[in-house]
Amino acid sequence: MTSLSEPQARVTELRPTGRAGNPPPRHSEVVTDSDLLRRCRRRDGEAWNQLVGRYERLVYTVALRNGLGAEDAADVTQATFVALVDALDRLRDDEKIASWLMTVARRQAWRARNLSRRTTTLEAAPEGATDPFADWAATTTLHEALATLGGTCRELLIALYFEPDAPSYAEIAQRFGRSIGGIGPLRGRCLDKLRAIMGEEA
Amino acid sequence: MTVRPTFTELLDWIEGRLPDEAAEAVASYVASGDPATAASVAWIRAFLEDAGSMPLSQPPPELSARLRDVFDQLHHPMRGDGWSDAWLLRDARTGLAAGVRSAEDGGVHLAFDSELGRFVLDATVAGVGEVDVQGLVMLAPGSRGVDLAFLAHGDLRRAARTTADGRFDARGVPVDVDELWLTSGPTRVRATLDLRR
Repeated sequence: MTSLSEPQARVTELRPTGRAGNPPPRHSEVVTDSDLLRRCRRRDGEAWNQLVGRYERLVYTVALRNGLGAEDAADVTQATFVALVDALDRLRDDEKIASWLMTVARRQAWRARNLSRRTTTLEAAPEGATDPFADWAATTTLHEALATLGGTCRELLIALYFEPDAPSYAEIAQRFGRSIGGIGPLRGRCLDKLRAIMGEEA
Repeated sequence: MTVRPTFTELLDWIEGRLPDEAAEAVASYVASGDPATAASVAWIRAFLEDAGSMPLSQPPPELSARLRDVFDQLHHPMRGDGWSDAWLLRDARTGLAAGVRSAEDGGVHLAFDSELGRFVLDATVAGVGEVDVQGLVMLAPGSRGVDLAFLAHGDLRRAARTTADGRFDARGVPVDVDELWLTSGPTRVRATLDLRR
């Protein structure tokens, strides 16, 4: 009988090439959110760009899911990242940046929605009483765990399970510079790691 | 199947990626009621449901560009051209203009005019060496908000963005802040501040 946990093959960390045909991937060390935040505190603009790249979709999505239109969601996203610049030296836990951003975005979205309600007719006002997140705690826990997972695994799972257009393995393989046959086993190992992280955090 | 399926095999099975024979073998093992396997299957299904409930939307490219620019823009607002000075209209401490509120309420009340429009701010003591600042920028029609950088001797101390109606709020601003930069698209405005009572 085999063990439930598969042998953890060492995952070579690759930088995904992104969705817009960026340069080919290169081997690199896993850069954690804490690393990036430390560099941002030293005014490293490249670290900031990487942080934005990691979390802009999450923040923008939280704003959209709170019932905002594209323009308001963009404002909320920008306000959230300005709040991060403001809070860089006061963050309590660098490891929790995903849930920090989600919470700030959600709060900003509430403010924007309330503002918009003051200027819209009752008929046009969005449904406000319902919470767009069925389980906010589960959502933040999942994204915290993904942040802890980091590196290629995080990027791979985001690409496979969180992108709305569900890219094919062939597309993913090209993006990550891997063979198609390697994607399935890698995503299995990554998901198993994520499960272990979520088990530790529970 | 007589051996416990691996986590990846279970994932492949749930996602329908296994050939029929292998899928049947995994299904029969899952049906055997092994608790560890059942737990894995339940976890994978819950993950797929949670992930599927919130697909991540790609922000428009112009927003992505703005988000990347915001860091430098807040830390080094004076770089480049295209900025101008705001001019002080009212200062409640000096009674620079008529009709201002009393300076006896412990706060600092300032009003400026600028290329971005008029803006006012109130600073009230928040603690030793700190004030809370609230204000309003009279945004031009179509403007989507303004980024604000509070600097002391050229270093960023606090940052904020107005809401869509121009309001802003910055808590715990050090009283040695001596500049406020307001940025909206290519327009940047600098105001000299003195927040000390």
